[in-house]
Amino acid sequence: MRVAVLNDVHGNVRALQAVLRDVEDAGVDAIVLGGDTLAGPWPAETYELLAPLERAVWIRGNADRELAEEGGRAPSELIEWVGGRVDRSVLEHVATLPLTVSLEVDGLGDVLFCHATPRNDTEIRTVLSSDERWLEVLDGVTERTVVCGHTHVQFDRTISGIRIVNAGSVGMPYADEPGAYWALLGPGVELRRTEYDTAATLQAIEETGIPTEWPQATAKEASEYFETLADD
Amino acid sequence: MTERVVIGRVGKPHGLDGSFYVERPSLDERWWRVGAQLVAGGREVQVVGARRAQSRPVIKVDPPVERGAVIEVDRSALPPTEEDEYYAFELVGLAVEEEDGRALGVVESVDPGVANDVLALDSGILLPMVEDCVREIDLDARRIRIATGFVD
Repeated sequence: MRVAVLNDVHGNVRALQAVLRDVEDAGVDAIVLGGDTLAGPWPAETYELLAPLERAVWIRGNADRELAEEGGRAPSELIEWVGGRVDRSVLEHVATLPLTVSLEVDGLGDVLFCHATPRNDTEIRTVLSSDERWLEVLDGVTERTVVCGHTHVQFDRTISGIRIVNAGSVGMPYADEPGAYWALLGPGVELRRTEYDTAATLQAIEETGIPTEWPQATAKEASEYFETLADD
Repeated sequence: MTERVVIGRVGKPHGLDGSFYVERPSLDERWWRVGAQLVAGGREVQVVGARRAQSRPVIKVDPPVERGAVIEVDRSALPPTEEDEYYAFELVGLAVEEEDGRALGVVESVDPGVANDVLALDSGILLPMVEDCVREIDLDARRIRIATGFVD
């Protein structure tokens, strides 16, 4: 099958609408939603757009899980704000999604999809992380291709014969060019960027009153920042 | 009880991971680095993420703290001052008077200026932190003496 990977949408329904048009043109058999799909400015609208998609395969992200949890890392005012804009039952549903999914993709064989790493939804590995730090989190993985998200930086890297693809982020990318980032798998790996009106969207996000600054950074800035973080 | 110094306040969240802007941040960059030990909202916290956005420090601390919490460090963590060198917080609250004894007000803040820092008094008076103006700082007596002629 051919698969579109849409990670870290973060409730940015405008970016999602633009990407779904390109996904439609690409003609895929499955759309993997790699976590942190709803946590952002338009959680209900995002869910309404995605819930009817029969080809969608959902996995869990840390931010969506934390929305349904007590004492998560997200600021309480943000949890309340997002929580007030989407049904509680939706948040509880996305918090219990699987950590990983494995699909057979044309030309790639079995591909493992996860949010952060195959073993948990929060730990951080980047394009700059050492081979050793990557191999530690890939221990026990049998697939030859692993697709992740979480850090919002798109890359394609091979370590000890395992191809690691970060599909980037649809809604909150850290990248050098504006747009929505995603990946198309089968038969190869295609890193994609869909253009949309990011300036107007940033303005609209601010106007929603979401109590946080929508972060922006280049791929290099973000990767270097993530490497300074201690392991959770 | 350990004396503490305010170095900032927990401001607007940045992103979704618990990071936040530091409001009125100390200009001493070493507080805004991973590993720094701070006190926020009265609790000891460690800086676990640090970057800048719009030229302002954005940090993440463990354990997390609520917005608006005051960020402090122990006074003993600051390097000792040289003679005729003061921390801004030491000057806040000091009475200011002219050499002839006329009271001008109390220091409300010390604001960085282009050429020199500026003493802002509760009376609205602004005074340049230059030797010609500030004649004597007496922390024990909690008083600053100013040369006459700077205030009408």
